[in-house]
Amino acid sequence: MQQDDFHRFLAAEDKILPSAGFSASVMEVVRREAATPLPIPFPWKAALPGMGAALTVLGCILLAFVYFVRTSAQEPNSAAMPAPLLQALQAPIHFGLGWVVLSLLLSLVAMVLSMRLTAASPARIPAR
Amino acid sequence: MSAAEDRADVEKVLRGDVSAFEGIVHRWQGPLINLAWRFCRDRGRAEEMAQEAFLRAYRALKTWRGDSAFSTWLFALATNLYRTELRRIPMVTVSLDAIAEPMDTRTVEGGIEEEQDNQIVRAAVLTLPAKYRDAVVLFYFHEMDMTQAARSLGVPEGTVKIRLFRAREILRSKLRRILAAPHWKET
Repeated sequence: MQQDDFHRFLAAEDKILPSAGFSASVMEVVRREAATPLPIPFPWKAALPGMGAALTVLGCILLAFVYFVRTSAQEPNSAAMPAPLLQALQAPIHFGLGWVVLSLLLSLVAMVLSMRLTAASPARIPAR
Repeated sequence: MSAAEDRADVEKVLRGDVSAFEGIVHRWQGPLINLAWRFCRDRGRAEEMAQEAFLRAYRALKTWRGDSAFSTWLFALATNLYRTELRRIPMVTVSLDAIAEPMDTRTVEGGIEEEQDNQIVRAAVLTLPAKYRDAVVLFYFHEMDMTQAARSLGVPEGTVKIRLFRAREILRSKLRRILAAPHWKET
């Protein structure tokens, strides 16, 4: 088979004409779209301070917790806390608290990224 | 003229005049339906896909920056949508053998034979792997304009050339067995 044969058959393509109501049908869909109210955007401006504060508090609690557990581990005879409670607090270190925190952070990043990507879809054009 | 009309209509739509979009639909309905037709060979589905392409274009009109022709932007958007749609719901293809089988051997002469070969080649194109099929469809839709095909596909021209070359190789091997008629010359 020669290249010319492909050109001959594929270039000489039949054309189809749009149906009579196609244009009207498209415009109906477009008008409906235009009449649809814009989706309410997530109030990031209002939510960010609260989210920031919550994250800061959470970070402080985590840091305090890790500091406390480390201090207790270095001073096992410390009477500041009952032994069972101390063991319970030390357990997360043995079970890889760092990995748990890392996985939580990764989940958070993935969630934020997906929300960003979703929000990046084309904005709707306001109706007149 | 069309480019100026497109720009004017887009500006009107962006200012809130939805009815100005009708001008865009009138000018581009034929090309968008025909492009979809080449991808799916189903008239009803082609119109559905073209309608969706217009709706997506309307939603994304703000993203057309005007540094390229409106048609380039519209074809790229439509091509992207059509390819996604075909991945989501693949078209029904018949085997090349079924097409090659003549219904009445007494009538397979002259024009009918030509038309049959034509159908076989087009059916073979639709059975190509998607990236080769898309290159062939876009290249011939844009009347063998490599630049336009590359823009619609969003890939460099060199990539389109390679894909076209590979597509022809695959088509040759597919059709060699079926189209053994004397007028099909082997190269």
